[in-house]
Amino acid sequence: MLPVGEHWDLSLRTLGARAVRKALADSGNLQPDAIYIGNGLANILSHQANLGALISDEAGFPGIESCTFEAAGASGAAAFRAACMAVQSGLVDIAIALGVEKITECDGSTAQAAQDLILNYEFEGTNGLTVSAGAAIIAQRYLSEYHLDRSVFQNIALQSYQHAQGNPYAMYRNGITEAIYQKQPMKNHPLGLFDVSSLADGAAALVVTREELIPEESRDDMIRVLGSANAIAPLSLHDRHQLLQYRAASQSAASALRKAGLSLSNMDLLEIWDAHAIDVVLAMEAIGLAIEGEGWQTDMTTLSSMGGCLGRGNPLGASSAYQLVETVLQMRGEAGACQIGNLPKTAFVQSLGGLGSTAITHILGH
Amino acid sequence: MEAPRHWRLKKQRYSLTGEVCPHCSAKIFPPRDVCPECGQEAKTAFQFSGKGEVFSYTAITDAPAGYQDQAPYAIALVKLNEGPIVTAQLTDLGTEPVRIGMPVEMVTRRIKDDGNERGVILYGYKFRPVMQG
Repeated sequence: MLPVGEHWDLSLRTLGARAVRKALADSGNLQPDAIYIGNGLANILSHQANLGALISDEAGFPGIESCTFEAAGASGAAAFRAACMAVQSGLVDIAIALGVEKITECDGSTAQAAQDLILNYEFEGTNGLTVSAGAAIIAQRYLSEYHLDRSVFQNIALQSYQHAQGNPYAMYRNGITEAIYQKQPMKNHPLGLFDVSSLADGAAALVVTREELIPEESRDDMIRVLGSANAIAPLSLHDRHQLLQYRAASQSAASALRKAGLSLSNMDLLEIWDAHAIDVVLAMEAIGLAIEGEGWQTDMTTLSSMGGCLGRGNPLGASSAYQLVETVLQMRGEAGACQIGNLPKTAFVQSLGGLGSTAITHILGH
Repeated sequence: MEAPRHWRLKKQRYSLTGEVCPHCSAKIFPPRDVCPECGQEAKTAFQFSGKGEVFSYTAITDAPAGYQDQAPYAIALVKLNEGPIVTAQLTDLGTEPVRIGMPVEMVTRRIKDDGNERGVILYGYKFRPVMQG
C-alpha cells in the first residue's frame, strides 16, 4: 500500500509495481504465479491499456499470468475475488491482487469526465449527468421520502475524516470540525464538498495463497478469506425499480455471509463504501445494518476505520484494495493510531462500483 | 463525435420513442431487447407523451467538458406519465424553484457542443415546467 495523494513523481506502472513489491515483502517474499490488476481509468487518463504486461513486468515478473479487472470503484475487490477464485480452484498457487489508479496526470475536469464514464454514457452521461450529481439525486429523493434534511450526512463525513487523521496513508489528515462541515460549499445539493470523496492516485496490493505455502514465520499474520461475492444492479439510476434500494449491496452482502456461514452479528469490523455519504446510508440499509430511512444513524458503529474514500481519498479502482489492506491491518493489530479497541476476529468489507451498481463483499477472519 | 452512435439513438433523443412489451404491456425507455419486467423479448415501438413529473433532481455548477456553457443547470430523474423514468436536464425554469413532483414536459434542445473542429452539435430531450393556462 502506498499513500493516497497526488504522486506527480510516480507513473502508473511505478505505483503499481511498488505496491506489488511491498505486498510480497510483507508475505515473506513469496513468488507470485499471477497478478490480477484492478483499475478503472488508465485506459482514459494514462492512455494505457494492457496493464497486466506493463505492471507485472515492471515489478520484476515477466512470464507470469496477469490481466486487468474493471468494476469502477470495486475494481480492486474484483481483482481480489479473482485471486481468491484462482487459488481456491487450485490452478494458481500464489496470486496477487493489485488495485492501482493514476488520476492526477491531468486537470480536475478531465479526471471528472473520465470518472463519469462509470455512468450509462448514452442515457445519463450524454444528458449532462455526473457521478456526484447522480449521488445527489439519490440523496435528494432520500431526504424527501423520509422527511429529513441534509444534516443527516454530517456524522458520516465527520467520522471518516476523523479516522483518516490517524492513517499515515490518508490524503486528508487534518480532520474537520462540525463548524467547518456546516460551512462547506455545496457540491451538488444536497451533497456538500465533504460528502463527496476526492479522486487521487494510489496503489494497494494483497497476496492470496493457501496456508501450507506461507512460510512458517509469516503464518501468524495470515488472514483468511471466508466469503466472497459480487452482485450487480441496473447501471442507470432511471432503470432501478427502487432508487433508494442498493440491491447489489444487499445481494452481495447476503451471498458472502452465506458462503462464510456467518451472520452480520458475528462481524467485529465493518468496512462500508463511502465514496458519497449517501452510499453509506443506503449500504447500511441494504446490508441490513439499519432499517429503511435510518441508515444515516451511524453514531454507534465504526465504519471506514482508516478514513474511507472520504478521508483517505478515493483512488477509484484502487480504493477497494485499500479497504481490504486496511482491514487486514486492523485484524493483525497493525493499524497504529486507527486501531480499534478489540482486535477484530471477523470483518465485513464491501466495495461499490458506480452508484451502487456493482457490489463486491468479502468476509475476512482469523 | 461518434456519428453512428448518435444516428442510432435519434428516435429516442428526438421523439422519446421506447417500447411496449408485447407480453406484459410494460412501457420501456430506453428500448432494450429483453423486457426488464417479464424477461421476454420486447421489440414493439412505443412513443411516449413526453409528460411527466420530477422524481428527484440536483444542480450542477462544475459541469463536464461540452456542458460548461450551460452551467449551472438542473438535472433530474423525470417519471413519465406512462411509468418509466428518464435522466434529463431541466430547462426554461425561469425563477421557479425545482421541486419533487413538479409537472414537466419534453422539449428538444441542444444537449452538447462538440468541442472538436468538426463542430457537430448534439440535440435531444430536456424537460421544462408544464406551461400554465
